Amino acid sequence: MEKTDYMVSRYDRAIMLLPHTIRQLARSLDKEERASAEEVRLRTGEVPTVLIDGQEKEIGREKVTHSDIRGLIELATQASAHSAGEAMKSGFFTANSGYRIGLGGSVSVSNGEIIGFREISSVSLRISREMRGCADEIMKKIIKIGKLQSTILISPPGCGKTTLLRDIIRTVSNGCLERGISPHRVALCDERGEVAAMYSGVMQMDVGRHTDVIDSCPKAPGVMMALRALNPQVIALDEITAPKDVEAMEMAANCGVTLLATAHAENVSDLKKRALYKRLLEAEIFRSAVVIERRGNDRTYHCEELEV
Amino acid sequence: MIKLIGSILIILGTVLCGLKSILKMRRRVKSLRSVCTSLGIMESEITDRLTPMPELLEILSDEALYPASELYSTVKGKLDHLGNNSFSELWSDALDDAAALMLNAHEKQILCELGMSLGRYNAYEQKKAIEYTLRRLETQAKKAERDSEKDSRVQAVLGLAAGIFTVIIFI
Repeated sequence: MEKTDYMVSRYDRAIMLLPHTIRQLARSLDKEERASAEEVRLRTGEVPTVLIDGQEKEIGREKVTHSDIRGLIELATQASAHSAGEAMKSGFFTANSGYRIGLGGSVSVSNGEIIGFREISSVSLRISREMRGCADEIMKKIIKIGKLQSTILISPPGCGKTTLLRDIIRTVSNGCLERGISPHRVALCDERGEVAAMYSGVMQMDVGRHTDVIDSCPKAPGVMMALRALNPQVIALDEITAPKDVEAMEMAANCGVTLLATAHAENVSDLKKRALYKRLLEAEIFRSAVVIERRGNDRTYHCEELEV
Repeated sequence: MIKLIGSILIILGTVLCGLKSILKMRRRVKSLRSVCTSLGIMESEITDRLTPMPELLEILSDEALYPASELYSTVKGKLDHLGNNSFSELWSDALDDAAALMLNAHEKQILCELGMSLGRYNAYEQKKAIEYTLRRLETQAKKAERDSEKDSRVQAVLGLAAGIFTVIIFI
């Protein structure tokens, strides 16, 4: 399948999660727009939009209703809001085929903790796509003397950290003898379910033949579980956001496991300014940082060695 | 001789009609009990395992007693239409199709209301909705049981009496 056809097919599959009337509107975009669409956004009382090249394009004239939002949630969860409840507390959940659905609205709080959404007023359907081979160039730089370096992938949101992480995991897991990469046992702690897109126990995205996935589990206990049970050579995590994640990574690094992770930052100096990541860098867990830059639909990857 | 055989047949026929009516009432009680039991399974699956709806319907189709199992099997078959119809509409359609459940309009309404909550809210809220439905249906089941016990004797006597009365008139 050609790349454009694949991009369009992922879009077409994603819009199957939309309520019927909005789905028809989303289908009316031309092939090029469908191939480059990144998100579909529904906001109650506003016209639905599709995010294309960083700009939101309105589709149709009908405004989104509460019923549309409820219909999408019901369809995306297969009428199982209770199953997606834990993920929804974090403001998103992953639907069939790895599409992440971000939520906005009125939140219910009890004892200072979010217990769920009282009313969901906006939804962002992110169209995730596998970009096989996007890690090819970077692999040469994060493998030193035949050994994979612990690496952190950094960029602002929406630049493709998860996509790059998935391709690195797949390459490392399968191995590539031409490039001197032997197959590794990888444990993927996929808390948001966006990397492997596990659905009914089956991975919807290719993360390699030697990858074990712990999904929908908070990263810190997921890392500990992987260390105890899966004997991994590499542990991969998407988006480090909490001090507990850092503690678990320190523990894993002390056990001699190579780490792959992603974080939100503009660049390495920006990363160093943030308290959470500063600690991570001071612990010298990561040897390399890959900075992702985005220009339109193109991404460039810069590898930087982190000072020890 | 012919008169005797005819009389016996008439009495047997009316008694059978009475028995049929008794069996129908008992089947209705059994049906309501099967729905109540299945709601118990549903509640524990949603609360304890957070079982997703497709899997939950699969479990209930297999494990619930007949005829409740028919209801879940029908909803499961309709799940492909989610997106064009809401879950509550599919649930309501399945209730309309489930003649074997022998529900009266009130009981159907109770279950329709449950369909408005299923799969839409968190586990705690669904548990509350299921418990409320269960309480109301158990009341209905007890009423149906009382009616069945009370009316069984009446139906049996009526069947026999109708037969004898018809025979007396014809003879």
